[in-house]
Amino acid sequence: MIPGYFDEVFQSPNVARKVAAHLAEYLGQISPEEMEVLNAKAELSMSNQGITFTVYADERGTEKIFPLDLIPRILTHQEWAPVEKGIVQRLKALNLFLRDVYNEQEILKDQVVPAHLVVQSNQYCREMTGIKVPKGVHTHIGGVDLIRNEKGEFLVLEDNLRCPSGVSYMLNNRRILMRVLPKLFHQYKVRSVNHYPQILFDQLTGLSKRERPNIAVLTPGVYNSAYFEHAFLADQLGGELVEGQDLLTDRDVLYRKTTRGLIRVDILYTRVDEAFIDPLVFRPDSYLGVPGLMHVYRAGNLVLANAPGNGVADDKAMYAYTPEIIKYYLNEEPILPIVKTYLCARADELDYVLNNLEKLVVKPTDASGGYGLLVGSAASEQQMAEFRVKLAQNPTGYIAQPIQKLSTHPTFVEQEGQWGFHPRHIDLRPYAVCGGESIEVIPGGLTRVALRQGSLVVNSSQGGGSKDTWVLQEEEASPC
Amino acid sequence: MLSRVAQRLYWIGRFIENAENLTRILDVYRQMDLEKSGYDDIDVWTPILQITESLDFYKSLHPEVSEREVVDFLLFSEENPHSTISSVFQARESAKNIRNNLSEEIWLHLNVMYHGLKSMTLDQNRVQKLDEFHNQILVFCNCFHGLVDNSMIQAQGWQWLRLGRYYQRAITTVNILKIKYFILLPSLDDVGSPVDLHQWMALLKAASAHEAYRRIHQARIDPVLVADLLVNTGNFPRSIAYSVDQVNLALSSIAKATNHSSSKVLFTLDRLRELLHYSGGMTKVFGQGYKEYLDEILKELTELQELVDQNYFNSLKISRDRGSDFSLDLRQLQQQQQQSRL
Repeated sequence: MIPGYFDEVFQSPNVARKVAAHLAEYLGQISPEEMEVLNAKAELSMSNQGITFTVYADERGTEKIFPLDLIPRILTHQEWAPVEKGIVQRLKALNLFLRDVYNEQEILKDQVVPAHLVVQSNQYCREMTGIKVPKGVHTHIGGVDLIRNEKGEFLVLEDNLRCPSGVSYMLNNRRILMRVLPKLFHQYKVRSVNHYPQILFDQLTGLSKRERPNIAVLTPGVYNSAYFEHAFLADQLGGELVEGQDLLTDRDVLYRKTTRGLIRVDILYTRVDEAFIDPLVFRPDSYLGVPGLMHVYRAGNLVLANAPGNGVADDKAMYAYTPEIIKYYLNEEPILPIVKTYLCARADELDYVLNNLEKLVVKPTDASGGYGLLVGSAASEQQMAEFRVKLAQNPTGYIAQPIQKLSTHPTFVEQEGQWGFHPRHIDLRPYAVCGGESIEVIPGGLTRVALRQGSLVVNSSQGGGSKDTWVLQEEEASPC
Repeated sequence: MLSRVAQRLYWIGRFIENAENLTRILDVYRQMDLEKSGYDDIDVWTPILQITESLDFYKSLHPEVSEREVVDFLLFSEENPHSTISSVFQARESAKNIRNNLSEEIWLHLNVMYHGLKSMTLDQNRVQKLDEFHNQILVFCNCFHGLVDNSMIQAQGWQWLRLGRYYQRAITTVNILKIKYFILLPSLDDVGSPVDLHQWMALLKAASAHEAYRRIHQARIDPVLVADLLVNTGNFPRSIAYSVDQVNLALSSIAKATNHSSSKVLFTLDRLRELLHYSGGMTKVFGQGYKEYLDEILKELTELQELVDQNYFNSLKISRDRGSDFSLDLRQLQQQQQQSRL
């Protein structure tokens, strides 16, 4: 345990929380040597199956394993239920928000959200204006990043409405844990996550107006860091994994090129950045996309998941307004609180940020993956000075938040030359799939863990790992 | 199946077969080169460059034709797109691109071979290393075929691999037979002489047909029988006839799977079979023009390749041929493509 932080397994040193009792007992029994054997087994299984991601900084594009920590993170039904409700509420509101800002713009007229923040945002996608997307769904697959503060409360850290990655790791983590730690599964009633592809398939096909719609997953290709996931999802959905060159459009219909001729595509799950999906509308130098795709979409002949232009809603500056957005569309209080956010675009808040840098995390509004941020408590004088210049030059490009006390979880890591269980900071990214009638949250998600001692950055691109996340079934009320 | 995927599978089949064939041919000719004492003026290396259609490219890199340079060029040059190493690398690159259409084992096998070749050096013990390389490639390629046959569903994808493999083999066997035309004997008197027979024997070995020949025709080398074995012995897996039969089977399965058969393909296959089982037999072929005959077979094989390209890799044309109506024309399509490559 680290004093001042919420530990998910221990409530005080050596005293486990009730739910974690079996887990703590298990950790107490197993030796580091045994653990290393299990680790090796898991790693081999991942590397053989090619469960890898590419590190861009590495010139040779080496394929690396996304480290999996074998100790599961366990959430009770009572802990999970509000998280699930909160995510559904959030995605419902954000979907309505997206539909609104690309059509009637009521929320801007009512001045709940400053109009300039939306329409002048470089995430605002003019090409989406006026498009009636199938059943009003803009965000089909959403990932909401959550953290737990020192009191154990869940807070929303970020919404991912463009194309949240990592779902294949969630599924594979579970598969590997079931193989490596079958004993623990006997002691807990863990809810399943492996119906995710089924849910995704049902929700997406439910949006198509065609009877037996054809589904395809669009990948930028084999050199993309998440290619493994694209191939995996295509496989699981029973769809075709396609590249831009495999598709063409004719008279507002999308086709894929096959040995039987052209075959219609009704649903395209795109994992290509939206700026690249149609060179006629977006970046003309892109050959990853399909010329004419947006025209097909506009004509209503395609379900495109996720819709382009969602960045305007998961923008880090818009994040500060999400409680108002929820109240505006749903007339409800937000179930999940957000982290206090300072918009550097506001003069008084910028002032505060500049004077309190060491207590804050400063984030660029238009980046993700943990790139380009400053953690005040860990930054050098020089880094701080550089950020002060950046903030002064481009205040609208940044937000700042108090440094969060991310909860910790025992993790099998090397520390001072020895392998053992040590607390490491974690977050949680559950996945939700939105359809025309419902929003389904998968019970579980990807728990990301900062493997370096003291680090609060959990992103995979920054040396993070992951854990399997167990959501337990509701306990039956014991008979009196 | 996506045309891109089909095309890649087809080429993986061709690349792997090419890697093996080239290695076998070079091994035989390396030995022949060592044994040709007394016939120093016979150049065995230029013909090999000719049949692999890389003579001009070779000459642009090397002023002289020498054993060492030709072997390096054909086996190890990454500059030469038809070399053994390039073939393996290209097969692996293609496989990476369509990974979930191959079994995990096939992918692993290709990947292991790729890394092995990447880290290989030839500096010391060249002769021994060449032998090792020869064996390594043979084992690798045959393992590959074994995995393909035993770990994949034998559906359309498998048929494409098979088509590529046997198409390449048919071409190679024709080319091996052509070597005999290019290697000119010192004088006409040498026909039937030890050096002539020695060459026919080498040719059998290059096609791994030496043993099969002995089983059928005993030890006496007769050029007509050699050609007969390599051209039209339907149950010998390296003969042209066998390869064309396999091509035929693959193509008809693909036609069934895609619900798309083409009379042009059938006609071409018929003409090929007619050529292979030429009524006059090889004796007559030898009398009438050996090279012309082989060129005729190559011409039909090339035609077949073009038909496959049109019938399966050009989807817009396929749909049109089947009567679907599209507003796009080829020019527009190319513009779309160009637009996207800017």
